[in-house]
Amino acid sequence: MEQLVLELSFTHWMWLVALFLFLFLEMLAPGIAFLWLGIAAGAMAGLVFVLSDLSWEMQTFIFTLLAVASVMVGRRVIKEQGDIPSENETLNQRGNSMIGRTVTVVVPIENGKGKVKVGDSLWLATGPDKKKGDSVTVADVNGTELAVE
Amino acid sequence: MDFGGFSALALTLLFVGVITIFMAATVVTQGYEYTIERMGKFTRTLKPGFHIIIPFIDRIGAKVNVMERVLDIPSQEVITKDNAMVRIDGVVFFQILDSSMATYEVNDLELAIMNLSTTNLRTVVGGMDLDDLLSKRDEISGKLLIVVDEATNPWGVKVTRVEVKDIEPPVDIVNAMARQLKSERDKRAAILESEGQRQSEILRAEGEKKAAILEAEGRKEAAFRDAEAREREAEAEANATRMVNDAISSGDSQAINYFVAQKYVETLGKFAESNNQKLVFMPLEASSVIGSIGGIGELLKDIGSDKKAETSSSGIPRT
Repeated sequence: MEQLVLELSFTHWMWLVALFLFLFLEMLAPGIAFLWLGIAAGAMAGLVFVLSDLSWEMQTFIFTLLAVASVMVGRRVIKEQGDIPSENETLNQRGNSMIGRTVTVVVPIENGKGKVKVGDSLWLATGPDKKKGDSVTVADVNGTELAVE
Repeated sequence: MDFGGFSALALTLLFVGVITIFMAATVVTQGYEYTIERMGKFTRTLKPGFHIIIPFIDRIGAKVNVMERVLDIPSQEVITKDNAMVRIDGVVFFQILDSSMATYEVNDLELAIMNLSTTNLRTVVGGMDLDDLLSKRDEISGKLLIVVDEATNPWGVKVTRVEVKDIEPPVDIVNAMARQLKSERDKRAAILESEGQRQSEILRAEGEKKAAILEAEGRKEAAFRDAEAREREAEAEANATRMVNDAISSGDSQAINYFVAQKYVETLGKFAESNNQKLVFMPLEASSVIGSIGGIGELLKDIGSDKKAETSSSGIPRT
């Protein structure tokens, strides 16, 4: 057993084993962390296969650099892909789902502040002065305030 | 494997590198938002998805739940406007719209909302009568919602609804209510019963009145008819008398005498036939009968003699 470990240590085989171990851990653990280590391990396997005379310290060093780099590159790739698409982009964003809706003024907007009725609850509204009963359109949301026009 | 300084550095770097990756790669799951603090100062909010934060200077401040949440307003004893002690509890539905405000503007958001709701519930209930309290829950909810929503605005929280869950008046009050309800029903029943009785009495009286009227009318009609009949009878009598009189005046008075005598004798005959023949009617005006016999005698006398217009004034013979 010890013989096996010693023979395998810091060869491309070991890096390949590490790759799959990291992938296995990635599936178990929450978040995305082991994936980058896995990518780095895969790259190391290729590198060690080509340059088999690298010292283990060097290998470890390069692996660390590769892992950090893979995170950077991965993020860039994700960014270029644009936002992760979703069927419901306004999920958990109660305010944003109301942009463009036409609502009724309940408390007249004076000095830029008033209230509008959305659904069955009142929202603070900011915008030009309006009388009670006027219809306004929600243009933007700032926290719990709706900018209307 | 000789273990030198470079080896140690390599291992340390590996360790730090792995930790760095773990710190930097951040996945925010749907329903949450993370606030990021750079050197302790809030910089941005991470929305759901994959993010990288710069390790060593950035740190995740708070993991904010942006789903709509429900808070229980704990059950409490409140005195209403009309001094009834009621036990009341409720629920608050709220959602964090601005994670940074909810994290940094208020220390303990849930505690703050709960206390706010609790105190305002007391305020609203304290301004209402027990009857209103039991019948106007939506009004309570509405008032509470406005107040609590206004107050939580600076914390980036939207209170979507406040509901009163349970109102428990004191047991004796509940009993009194039940009694009141029962009495109310009893009262209605009694009223309806007497209504019915009154109606039936009226109807009966009306019937009796009608009957009496009809009866009187009948009697009146009958009386009229009776009178008419009597009139007719009298008329007939008068006519008969007149006719008899005419007959007498035109004829002989002896005819009358004959009839009378016949009747007398017939009557006597009847006496004789009756069971108590021994019974003698006293005073029997035998003399009158005799007189009638006298009349008969006169009749006999007149037979064969010339007719005279003279009438005998009295048929009573001398005895």
